[in-house]
Order: sequence, then C-alpha cells, then structure tokens
Amino acid sequence: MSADRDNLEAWLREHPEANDDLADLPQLRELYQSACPPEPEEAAWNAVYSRIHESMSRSRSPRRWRLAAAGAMAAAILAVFLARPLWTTGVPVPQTVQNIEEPFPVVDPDDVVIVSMDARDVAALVVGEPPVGNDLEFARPEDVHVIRCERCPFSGRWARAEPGEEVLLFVVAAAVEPGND
Amino acid sequence: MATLTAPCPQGASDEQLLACFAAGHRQALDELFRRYRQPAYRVAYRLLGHEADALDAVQEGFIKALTHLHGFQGRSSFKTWLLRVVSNAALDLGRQRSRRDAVSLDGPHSRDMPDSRLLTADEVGRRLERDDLRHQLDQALDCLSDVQRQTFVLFADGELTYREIAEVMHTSIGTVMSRLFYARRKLRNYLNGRGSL
Repeated sequence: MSADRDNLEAWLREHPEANDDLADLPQLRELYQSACPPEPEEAAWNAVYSRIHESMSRSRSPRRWRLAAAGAMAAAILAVFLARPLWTTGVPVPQTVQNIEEPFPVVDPDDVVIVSMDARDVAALVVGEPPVGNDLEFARPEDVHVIRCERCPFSGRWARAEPGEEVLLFVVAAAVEPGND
Repeated sequence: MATLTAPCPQGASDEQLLACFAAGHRQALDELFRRYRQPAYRVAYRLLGHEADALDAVQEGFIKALTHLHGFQGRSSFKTWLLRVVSNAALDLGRQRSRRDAVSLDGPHSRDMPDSRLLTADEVGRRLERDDLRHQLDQALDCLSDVQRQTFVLFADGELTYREIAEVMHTSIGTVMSRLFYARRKLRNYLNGRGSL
C-alpha cells in the first residue's frame, strides 16, 4: 500500500540508523519460522476444539432461553395491564405493589461491553467489567522521539536531552543570558 | 449452539464462515478453527514458551474472539482480530504463570517429542539441533519487553504486516517499526553473544 510505504520511508528518513537493521529483519523472521514451535498432537487439538464448542454452546443457549423468558414476561405484564379495566368492580381493590425479590437476569457479562465510565462508578456496576482493568501504560522509552527542545518561557532555561544508561534524560541547562539566545 | 444441516459453501471466505457461524453452523466453527489454529498456537507458544499454556491461550482466544464478534465488525481480517485476542490472552496468562520460569524449567529436550516412532540417528541429531535453536530463540525473546515481544511475535510467527500489527496493538505503524527495530537489535545482540547467528 502506498500509505504504508510513505509511512515506512518517512520513518526511515527520521531513523537512518535503522536501515541496516530493518533490512535483515526478514532474515530474523525466517530464522524464527525455521524453528517453529512443535505442533500439538491431534488429540490435544480435538480437546481444545471440544472445549471451545462447549463454551460457545453454553453462551448461546441460556441467552436464547433468557430472551424467550423476557418476552413471555413482557407479554404477561402487558396482558395484565390491558385487562385490568375489565376486572374493576364496585369493591375497591387495594393497590399493592408486588415486590420481586429475585433479580431477573436480562443480560450476562458477555453481553455487555463498557466503553467508557467514571472511575467512581465502578463499585456500582452490577454487570460487565470496567473498560480499564489494569494500570495504563501511556508510553515506553522507545515510543518517545524528541523532535526539539525549547526554552522554558518562565525560567528562561533550556532543557538538554542526554542519552542515559536506560532511558533518555532531560537535564536543565544554565539560564540563558539576555540577548544570547 | 443449534446445528443446522445446510452446509456452508466449499472454500468459503472468512466472512462467509462467520455468517454461517452466526447462523448456527457448527461446520463453520470447525473450518475457522482448522484454518487459524496453527498461527494462533505459534503466537501463543512464543509468548508463553509452554505447549499446554499456549493451547489454553488459543482456546480462550477463540472463545473470546467469537463471543465478541460485535467488537470485530469486519474492520480487519478475522485472523488479525483472532491474533489480537490470542496474544492478549497469552500475555495475561504469562503474567499469571511467569513465562521465564516455564522456558527455563522446560529446557530444550524435556518435551515436544510427540512422534513416538523410532527415529534414525540423523533425525535425532536434526531434531536436537532444531530444539536447541528454538530454545535459544525462545530465551532471546525474554530480553524483550512485553510490547516488543508481542510486536515481534505477531510479525515473525503471526506473519502479520506492519499495518495489521498496528491494528492489533492499537498503535501507529511508526511505533510498530520502532518496536521491531529495538526488538531486532536486542535479539541480534543476544543471539550473537550465544553464537546462534
């Protein structure tokens, strides 16, 4: 794809030292492919497949049952609501609200994907998992490329990038003399 | 899962198979599994260094990928989607079970001999050489960070393109290339030190 090629060429222009390394990357790939992991026996594959199939069967059947149950209950409630005027007699019937003690399962965790939520509401979740379960890693040292360093508008000092032993370090240089920048 | 009798077309595309699967054809699941079990297993094995753990990751990956097909929505190939889920499942398992322990304790010769027939001396020699090389390559992967290892394994064993890896890892193509560059440098240094290159 031309977009990929453009991206690759742009990246290589910024990282000329990578040309040689990328050139023999396919060789390294071939080396790994030549020593590919041993294939499991057919019996092991069959066992894995059976478990996948069982799991898919379980995740589908209850959902269908729950949908049918939800539909039946909705129809029953609607019928009761519509028929209520027909039952009205001269004797007032006490209006009681029937408490449903047992929660009615509408969805299971597999049906719910939470894309975004306030972290303070996590404890209130009744179904599904919060979108971020682990620590967020925003960037690693190799993800950061320094384009340029600029003078701090408040202190007038410059930051200087120096290669550290493990990571790139930013060091505060001396203040710039007036008229010397 | 309901099993329907009408078959999926022969040589169906992934999209057709997924549609058949959604309609309840067991045969479609069978074909998808047969088609992608090997790349999924290779990626998981490289990330975990252990056959049983890799099979667990493949199983979990297939179940999650097929259960959450709405998250896939055909934006990438099914293989890309599957390898994303499998590699994430493998990394989760690896964190729980510590990949380094598995690799060092397993060793190159203590397993992976499913072929029970008698081997000739040449075959034994070749197999030992290959197992030794594979063990060294697996150990070399330990010197990479999680993201570098995942990137390299998707490239080498998953045979994904830079663009597909970027989709799998939700990052830019430049970052993929950068990770491959550093991964390659570390691997080469390690393997040169061991005389494997």
